[in-house]
Amino acid sequence: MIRAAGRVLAWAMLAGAVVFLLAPLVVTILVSLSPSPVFQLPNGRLTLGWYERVGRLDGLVEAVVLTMEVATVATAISLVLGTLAAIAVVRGRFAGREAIATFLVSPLMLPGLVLGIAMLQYFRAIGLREALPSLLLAHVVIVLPFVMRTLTAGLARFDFALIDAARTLGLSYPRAILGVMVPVLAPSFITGGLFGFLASVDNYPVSIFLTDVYHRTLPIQLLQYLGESPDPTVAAVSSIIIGLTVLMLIAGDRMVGLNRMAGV
Amino acid sequence: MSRFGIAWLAAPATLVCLGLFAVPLGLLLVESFHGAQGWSLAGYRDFLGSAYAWGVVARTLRLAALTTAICLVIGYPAAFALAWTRGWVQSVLVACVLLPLSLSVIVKAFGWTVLLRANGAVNLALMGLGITSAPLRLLFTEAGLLIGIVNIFLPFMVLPIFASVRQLDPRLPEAAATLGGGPLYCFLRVVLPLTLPGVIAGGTLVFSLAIAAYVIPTLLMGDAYQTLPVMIATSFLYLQDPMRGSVAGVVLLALSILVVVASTWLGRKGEAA
Amino acid sequence: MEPGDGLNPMATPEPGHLRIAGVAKRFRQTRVLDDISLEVARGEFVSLLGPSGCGKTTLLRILAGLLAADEGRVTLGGRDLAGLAPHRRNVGVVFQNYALFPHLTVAENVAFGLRARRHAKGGIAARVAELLALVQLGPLAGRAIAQLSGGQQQRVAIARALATSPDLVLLDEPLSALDRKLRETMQVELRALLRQLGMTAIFVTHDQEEALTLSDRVAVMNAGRIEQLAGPQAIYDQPASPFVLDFVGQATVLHGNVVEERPASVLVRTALGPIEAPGHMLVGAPAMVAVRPERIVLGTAPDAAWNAVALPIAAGSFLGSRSLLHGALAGPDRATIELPAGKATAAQPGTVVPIAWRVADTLLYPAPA
Repeated sequence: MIRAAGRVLAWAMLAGAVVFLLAPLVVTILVSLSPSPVFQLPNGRLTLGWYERVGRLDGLVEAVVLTMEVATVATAISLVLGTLAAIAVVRGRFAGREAIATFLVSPLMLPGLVLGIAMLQYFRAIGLREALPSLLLAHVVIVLPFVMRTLTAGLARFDFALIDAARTLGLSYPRAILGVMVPVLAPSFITGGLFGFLASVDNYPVSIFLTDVYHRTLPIQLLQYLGESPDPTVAAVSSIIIGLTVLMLIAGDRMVGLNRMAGV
Repeated sequence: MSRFGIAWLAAPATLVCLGLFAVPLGLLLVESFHGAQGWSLAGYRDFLGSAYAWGVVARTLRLAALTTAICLVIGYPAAFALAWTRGWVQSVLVACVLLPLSLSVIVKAFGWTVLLRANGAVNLALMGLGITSAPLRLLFTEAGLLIGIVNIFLPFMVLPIFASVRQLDPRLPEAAATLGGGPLYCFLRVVLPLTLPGVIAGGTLVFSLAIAAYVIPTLLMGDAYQTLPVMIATSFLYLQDPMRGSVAGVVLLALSILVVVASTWLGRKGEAA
Repeated sequence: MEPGDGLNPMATPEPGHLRIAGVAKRFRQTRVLDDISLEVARGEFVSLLGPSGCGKTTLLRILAGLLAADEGRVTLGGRDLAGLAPHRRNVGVVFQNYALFPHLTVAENVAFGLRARRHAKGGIAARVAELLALVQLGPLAGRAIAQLSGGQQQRVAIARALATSPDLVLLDEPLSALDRKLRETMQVELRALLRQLGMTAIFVTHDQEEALTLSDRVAVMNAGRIEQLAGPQAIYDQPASPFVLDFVGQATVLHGNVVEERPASVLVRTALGPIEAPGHMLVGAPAMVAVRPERIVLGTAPDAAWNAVALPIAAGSFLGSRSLLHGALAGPDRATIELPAGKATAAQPGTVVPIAWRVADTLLYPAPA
C-alpha cells in the first residue's frame, strides 16, 4: 500500500514537474504565434507577423552580436585556463590544490549581483571604463567555473595510462596529449563549454553594471523591451531563443549524450 | 613533467580569479566601510539599526527557504520517477529538465508574466478545476513570485537528486526488505540516507541561487518588493548610494558563504554517519 | 631456457638482445630498484615475478622509457636507450588495464602506432587486418572498445602493441583483469602468438603459476632486487632463498638448529625430529629446512636416503584430482602435503600420520633473522 502510494506520488510529481517546467516555454511560443497584440493565446488563427517585426527591433542585432562576441571569447579563454588548472588540481600533489579547486569554482555559488557591483567598483578604481573589455574580463569569471567543474570531473576519470600508451606507440609527449587527451576529454570540453557559454549569454546580474548605452547584452536589451514595448515581438524573440537553445542541446546530445551533460 | 611542476598549470586561472573576483570582492568589503566622510562603520550601523533592512533580509531568507522547500517536495519524488524510466523516455524527460535549465531566465520570466495574468492560463486552469470561482490576482503577488521562482530553480533540485538515486544500488532496498523492514522503515533507514547527498547538493544550489535571484523578483513583483539583490541593484543603479549597496552586498555575500559552508559541514556529517 | 623453436629462425637464441646493467631507481628516500642486471636473448620470454611494490612495474616503465633510471645502462639490439623518449624506442607495451583508446574503434586502436609513425595508408590497413586475424578479432574491427568483453579488449591491446613489429614487448600484468578460465586460455594463446612471431617479451606478474607456465626464464623480484633468475623448473625445485620458496608454490617448512655436519649434508633438529638436508652449515647455526608438498609420501622411510617424521594432521582440503593435508604445527613451522585424492582418506584431521621424503628433495636455508 505505502509502496504503491509512493509510486503514484512520484509519477504524479514527475508529470506535474514536466508540465510546470515547460509551461512558460509553450505559452511564450503560443503568444508569439497569436495575432492578438496583448499577450493572448491564439484562438484558431496563427500568424508569423511578430517574427517579421523582430528584425525591426531597435538595438537587437547589436545586442546579439555583442553577446555572442563576449560569450565566445570568454568561453575560449576559460577552456584554456580551466583545462590547465584542472590538470594541475587533478594530477598535482601540492598543498592547497583542493583550496584552489574550490576557489576556481566558487563564483558559481556566489551571488552574481554582488560580483557585478564588486567588479564595477574595481574596474572604476583601476581606471577601466570601457564596456567591452570589462564585459570580457567579467565573463571569463562567469564561464571558468563551469569549465573547471566538468573538466576536473572528466580528468578524475581519465586514464593517464592512455598517454603512456600513445607515447610507446610513437607519439611524442606533446603530441600524445593533443592526440589522446583532447579527444577523450571532448565530452567534458563540450559540456563545460556549452553550459559556460549559455551562462554567459544569459547573464544579467553581472553585465548590468558593466554595460553602457552603446554596449547592451541581449538579456539587458530584452528586459528593456519588456519594460517599454509590451507587444508579442518580445515573445517572438524569446521563441527564437528557445529554438536556438533546443538546437544547442540537440547538438550536445549528439556529441556527448544528455545524461552526461546533466551530470548524471 | 614532475608532479610539482604541474602545480604551475593552475597559476594562470588562479591569477585571473584573484585579480577579477577575489580582489574586487575585497575592495567591496573595504568600500562598505568607506563613507562620504572617510572611514566609518556608518553603513553597517545604518543597515543593522534599520528595521527596514532587517525586513529585507528576512524576506530574502523566507523566499529562499520557501523556494527550496517547494522544490524539494516536488523534486524529490519526481527524481525517483525519472530514475525509474528507461531508454528514450528517460532521454526525453531529462531533456525536459535540461531545456528550462539552459534557457534564459528572462525568457522564462516573460512566459510567467503571461501565464500569471488575470486571464492567463494559471487562472483559467484554477477556475476550470473549480478551485477558484473568480480570477486570482497572481502577478505582483508573492504567490505568483513563488510559482515563477520555483519554476526557474526546480531543475537544480531534480538533477542532483536524480544522480544520487541512479547511484542507489537497487538491491539495497531488497536486502532491507529481506531483513524484515517494512516499506516505510526501509525508505527512512536505507533510501533516504543514501539519497541525502543529492538532497544536500540540490538544496544548497537552490537556496544560494534563490537568495541571489534578481531578475525574477523584479519582473514578477517590481522594485517595490525588496530582497537583498533588489536592494543592492536599486542602491547602485537608482539611488547612487554605493555605501548602502556595498553593505547589502557584503551581507548577501556572507549569507551565500554561510550556506556553502553549512552544506559542506552537513555533507561531511552525512558521510561520517 | 628451452632450445630454439624450429618454426621460426628468429627465435634462435641470440644472447644480449636486451641488456640491463646495474639499473637503480629511488623515489625520494625509498630505493625502488637496486642494482638490477639482466640479459634477455632475442625471442626469449622472461617474467618479472614478485609481490606488489617489489619494483617490477618500475623496471618495466624504465624499459619503456616512461621513467628514467637513476643509475645503470639499458641497451636494446646494441642501441643505448639512455635518454631515448618512449616514442623513439620501438618497444611495444601491453598495459595493465589495457589503456585502449575509448574514442577509437578496434581497428583504429591497432592502427594507432602505425599512423603515429606515418606509415602509408594501404600498408596500415593490410597490417591491421593481419594482426586482427592473428588475434581472431577480424569481424570486430569496426566495434567501439566499450562494446568488447574483457578477453577481446586484451586481444586488441596485444594486437596494438605488436602492430609496429617492436624490438621488445613489455606486458604489465596483462591477464590480471580476466577471470580464471579465460586467463588460462589467454595464457596459452599469448605464448603461442609471441613464439610464432619470435617476439622478445618481458612479462610482469604477481601470479607465480602464470609466470611458471609462460616463461623461458623467471626473475623473482623482492624489494627492488632480483632474488633468483632461472628457468621455471629450477625456480620451483631449487628456490634460491626463503623468499622464493615462500612466494613460488607451497612448502613444508621446519625451523631448527644444525646439530651435525656430514660430508655432503647437515642434520637439523626440528620440532618433528632430526631432518637431513643436502648442503653445508656450521653446527649450532639456526637453519630452516623445506620440502615441496608433492615430494612427500605417506608411510615410513624405505631407506636412509629418506627423511621420515610423524605429522599431526590439522585439516584437509579436497581439490578434485588431488588433496592437500595441513599439519598441526606451532610457531613459524608449517606443513603441507599433496596427495592423489584417493590416498588422503587415511589421514583424518586429529590423527598423527607417518610421512617421508627424499633427503635429496630437502631444501636447506639459514634461518632468516
